Amino acid sequence: MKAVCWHGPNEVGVETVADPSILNPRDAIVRVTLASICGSDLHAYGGHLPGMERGDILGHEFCGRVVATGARVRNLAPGDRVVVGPVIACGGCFFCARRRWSLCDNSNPNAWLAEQAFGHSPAGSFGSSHLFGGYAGGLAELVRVPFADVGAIPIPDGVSDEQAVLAADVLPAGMMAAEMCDIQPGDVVAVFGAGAVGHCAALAASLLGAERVIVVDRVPERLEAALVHLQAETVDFQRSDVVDALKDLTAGRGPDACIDAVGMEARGPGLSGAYERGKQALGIESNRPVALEQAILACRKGGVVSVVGSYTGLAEKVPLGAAMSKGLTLRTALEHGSGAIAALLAAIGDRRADPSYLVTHRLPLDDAAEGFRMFQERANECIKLLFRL
Amino acid sequence: MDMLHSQKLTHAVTVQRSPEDLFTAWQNPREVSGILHHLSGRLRGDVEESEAFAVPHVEIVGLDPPRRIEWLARVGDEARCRGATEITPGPPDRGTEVRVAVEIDAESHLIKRALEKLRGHDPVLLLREDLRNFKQRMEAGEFPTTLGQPSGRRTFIGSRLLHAVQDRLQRAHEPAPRSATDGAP
Repeated sequence: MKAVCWHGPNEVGVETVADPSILNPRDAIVRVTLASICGSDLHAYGGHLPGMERGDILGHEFCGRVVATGARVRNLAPGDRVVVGPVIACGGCFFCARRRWSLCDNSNPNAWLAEQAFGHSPAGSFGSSHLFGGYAGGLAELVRVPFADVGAIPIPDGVSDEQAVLAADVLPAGMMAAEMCDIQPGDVVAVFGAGAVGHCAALAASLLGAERVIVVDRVPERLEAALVHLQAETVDFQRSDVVDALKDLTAGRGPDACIDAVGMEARGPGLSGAYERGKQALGIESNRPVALEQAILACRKGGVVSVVGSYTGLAEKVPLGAAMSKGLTLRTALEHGSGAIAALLAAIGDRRADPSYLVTHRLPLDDAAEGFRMFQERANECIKLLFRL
Repeated sequence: MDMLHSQKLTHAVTVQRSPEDLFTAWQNPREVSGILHHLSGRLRGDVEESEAFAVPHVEIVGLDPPRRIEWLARVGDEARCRGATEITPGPPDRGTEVRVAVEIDAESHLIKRALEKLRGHDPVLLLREDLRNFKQRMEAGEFPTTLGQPSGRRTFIGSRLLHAVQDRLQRAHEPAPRSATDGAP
């Protein structure tokens, strides 16, 4: 089969590799019909994730049809149309029972390695670092889905493949980001990052009752899309100081909640930003936590900072003193997938949520290298890119 | 077992199953043999690779229902480890705590012991993996694995050390005397 393999920083190739097979009784094999690139794929692509290995198959947002199931998968059958999110979860542990699937105790075969880095192991995930299991990803013609009875979610009639792929990751991540803000009537929510997750977080914040949503980014078309499709206010961080702008827009209070939907590759302004990029390039620091720093400084006293942009390893310049002195609540998690996906597919089917406008590009899988380059450079007004198989 | 070179290990896990289910698993010698597969079969650096994967024979040498089991594991005539398992209910809604204390005949030479660790034979790591696998089997009904999945690797140079440890830990399941669905919830 064809698969998009990582060959080193900023280098991917479409390779012919062996077809996957059922390895465990709860596995399924899915023939992929549509897959997409996520912002966190760019962290792997750029070589910023420790534990990547050359030849790893990338991708963690995909949908398709089941072609085979293991002996213990009883809720799926060949031919079923399913969507699969990034998280692999067993469904039987303490965390899965509490709907926190990205914390699953039992799905990471390299848990021993993750424990060295994080103290405890998170769930395994597709197309990511070997710290998260090194599972082959979804940018491929066929994918083995472990614990498929939990993680392969049937797509209802009336929901297209494009809508389903958006419900795999970016929409549940955005929903989780907004839910972590504990939004109250009258709240102003600032969303840092106008990528697909940021847009979905802004959409979710509105659905959960935010009075106003302010989106912060530097890419004009992404800010324009937030204005047009979400009726959000916007701040261009290249044109104004973000903290000052957000305080000004809230008459000095600051947003009640700030969502960091950017993560480790934030672009800081001026010399400060160049300094951060230099440190990350030299491997001195894993992250460029500029958006997190600004979120903490801008958030109102007693507010919530919700972090869904991906981070790894260590970060300098996170103003914990400000967070403490302002009595902030910091909440963060990897997107939980599974049950959230099912609920969001229903919401899409009922037309309560539809982020389809985010899809700006559709390419064949053979153009993966060009697709990654374009998505990384935010070229051609690219917000969300899908690969057809 | 040479008590002069014995090493004491302890590890604990919390499992989302009832104390009765877990006690039932541990009081069955065949089950214990599977649970301790990594540790009891692979303790000594001088064993041949084929023997390293040998299935240990386990004797239950003490039972104190419903919470304590004492056992002894042998490969051939050689005692490889002995220990005790304590099973106690956790705090409300937190599952059941399983604490294992093991005494093993460990390599006494510091350099040899360090080399064993590099080969993935660190007894501490092996005991942790054994109990992690036990938890996975009881909660998920199978062990997660990526062995046999496709990739587009072009060369073998890279993270070889990572692979060596990963392969050792995962391949140990293959000859294990148990079904992947045994003990499924």
